[in-house]
Amino acid sequence: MSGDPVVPEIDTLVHEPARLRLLTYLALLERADFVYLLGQSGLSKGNLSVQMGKLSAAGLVQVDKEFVDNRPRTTYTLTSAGRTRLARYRQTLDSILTALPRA
Amino acid sequence: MMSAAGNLQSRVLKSSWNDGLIDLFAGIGVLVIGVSWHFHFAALGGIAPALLVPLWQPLRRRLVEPRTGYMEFGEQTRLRLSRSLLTMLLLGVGTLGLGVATYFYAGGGVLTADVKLIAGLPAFLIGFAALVAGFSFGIPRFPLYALVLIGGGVITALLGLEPAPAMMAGGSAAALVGAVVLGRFLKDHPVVDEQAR
Repeated sequence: MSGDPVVPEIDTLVHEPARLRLLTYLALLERADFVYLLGQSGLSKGNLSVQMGKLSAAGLVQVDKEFVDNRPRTTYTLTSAGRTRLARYRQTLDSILTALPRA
Repeated sequence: MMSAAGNLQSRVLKSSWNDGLIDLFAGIGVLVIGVSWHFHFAALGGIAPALLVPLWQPLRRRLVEPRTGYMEFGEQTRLRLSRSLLTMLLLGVGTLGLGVATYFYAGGGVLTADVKLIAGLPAFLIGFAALVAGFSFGIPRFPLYALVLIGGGVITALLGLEPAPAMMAGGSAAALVGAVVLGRFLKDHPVVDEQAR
């Protein structure tokens, strides 16, 4: 059986809690570096690195590497594709939550 | 009611002042203005902010960013900050204009009016600016300094004191609290090496 599902599918790349948190920070800020997101998200370095790698590979986040005061700094910016995807995710979630019967 | 995004932005903005550096710099600035006023060396009062403002960013980059990271506010927050700065400036100019107008009106245009009231105006104005900055930028400790400065301004006016001590008191309070908060921040937040993953 195929066709449009009545309940829309959720974008799992965005929906994953750690990634959603990171994307929300990047949507609120112009850009943020690894250390800032590490402190704010509460994720481990490894997890943050992995999640950012996935978001970057999907084109949702732009990664810039530079040296500041002889220290490496990785900065992340939400791309326009990322903004669009986040907006679409919000629409989908809104429609699901609106349709959901109240207990 | 504030939207969820607005609420999150406010929390992000508020968390960016946790290091105490802004308190320390603002405090030193006001303290220098007060001291220079006291010793009738007003030029130093003007130079101090001009020296402190360019120092703030490099010091923040060296002390704060290696510990809590670097970020740039989004356009919405930047617009909000600009609007707050403009409001502060307009309120300051307006209050000053009102004070000067009252002064001349009371003295009939002659500088013999009650100088006592005017003596409290500088501390009052700086305190008022601190209050607006505290609420607009979400700097939690600024209303406390505003209280010291505005209270000092009122006491100065009522008792006919010199203008400088009230500014020195407010500046010292901010600088001291800022130094303590910064010290604690440096102790509690070790430098994070992003490469050591």
